[in-house]
Amino acid sequence: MELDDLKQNWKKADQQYKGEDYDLSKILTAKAGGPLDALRVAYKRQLIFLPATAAFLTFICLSDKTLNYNAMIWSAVLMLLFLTYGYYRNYKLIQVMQQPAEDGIKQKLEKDLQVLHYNVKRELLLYRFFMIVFIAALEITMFYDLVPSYKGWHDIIIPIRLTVYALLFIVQPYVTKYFFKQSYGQYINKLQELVDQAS
Amino acid sequence: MENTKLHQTFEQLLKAHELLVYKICRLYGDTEDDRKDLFQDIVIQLWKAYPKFRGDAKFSTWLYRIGLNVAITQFRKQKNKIYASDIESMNLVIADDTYSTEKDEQFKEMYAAIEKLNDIEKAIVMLYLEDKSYEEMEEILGISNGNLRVKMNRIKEKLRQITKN
Repeated sequence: MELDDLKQNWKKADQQYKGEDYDLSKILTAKAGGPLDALRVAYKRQLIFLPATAAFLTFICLSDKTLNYNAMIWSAVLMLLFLTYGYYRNYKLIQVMQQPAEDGIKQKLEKDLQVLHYNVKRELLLYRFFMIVFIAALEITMFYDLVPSYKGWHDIIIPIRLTVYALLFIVQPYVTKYFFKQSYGQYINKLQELVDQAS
Repeated sequence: MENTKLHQTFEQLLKAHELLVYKICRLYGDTEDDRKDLFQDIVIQLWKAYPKFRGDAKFSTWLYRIGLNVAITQFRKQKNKIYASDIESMNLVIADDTYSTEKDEQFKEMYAAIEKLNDIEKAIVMLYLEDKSYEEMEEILGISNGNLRVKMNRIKEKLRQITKN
């Protein structure tokens, strides 16, 4: 049996096909169930949960005078807003990848893979930048003695503090890559596999 | 009003080409539930993309491109999924219906062999069985004509080996 013999059989099926009844409107209102859709839904949930938590903490801080200058809570608010931005970017990224293939399938695969790799790099830089800003803000706050609750950290000698910051710098790319891989790792592998198959 | 018109033309075009979608589902879905899910995912993607369809390419070419792309990259075979829409009664048996001749077993073997191919090879085989020219296949898959011919020869050989074993 050769593939060409199968062509006849394949064509026969065309003639026998009578069509099926389905409700298009219902299909179009249903949710797609692919891996990208699952990620998109998860990100959407975070986009609601994180700003809501940040808003709640802000409300707590502003309504209770003893917490007005609580640096830990304000840092958490800042962190939550930063994470919201990160999730927003990921949400947008999914939307880009869900765009239909306008060129050939291979080109679409390569483009998606490129977008994902570019995004890992951007995410690494973004988190690094945030870390620098955070450390700088912490040190300035301590230098001017603005927040009493940071005194404990300020009392630690500078070489140890610098070592901790350096360790954070070393660990950060691995952590960022780990979380990116958790979200997109399997998908990147799948795309790479498909590009290899198409090459 | 415009949306209703868009919906109507889309529905007509889909109806005229739905067999192509079924065939993609038949090839990429392992179970009937998979095929139903895939059918739904492809139709949703086609609908989302339809406003951008300018008619530069044939509708069938455009449909293959999107349908195969969904089947290859965005579809996850799922177990125990509760089905969302009412196409539960959809019968996705395509070529299986023709298993009534003496060649039944050979055809079944060939289909089983095709299922063992990788995703891109399956797409090439499907377009080949659909009698698409290498130029059209290139337009859909984005793989050069020369590379497609090489791949086609390899696939034929691979299928020969699989069916032999």
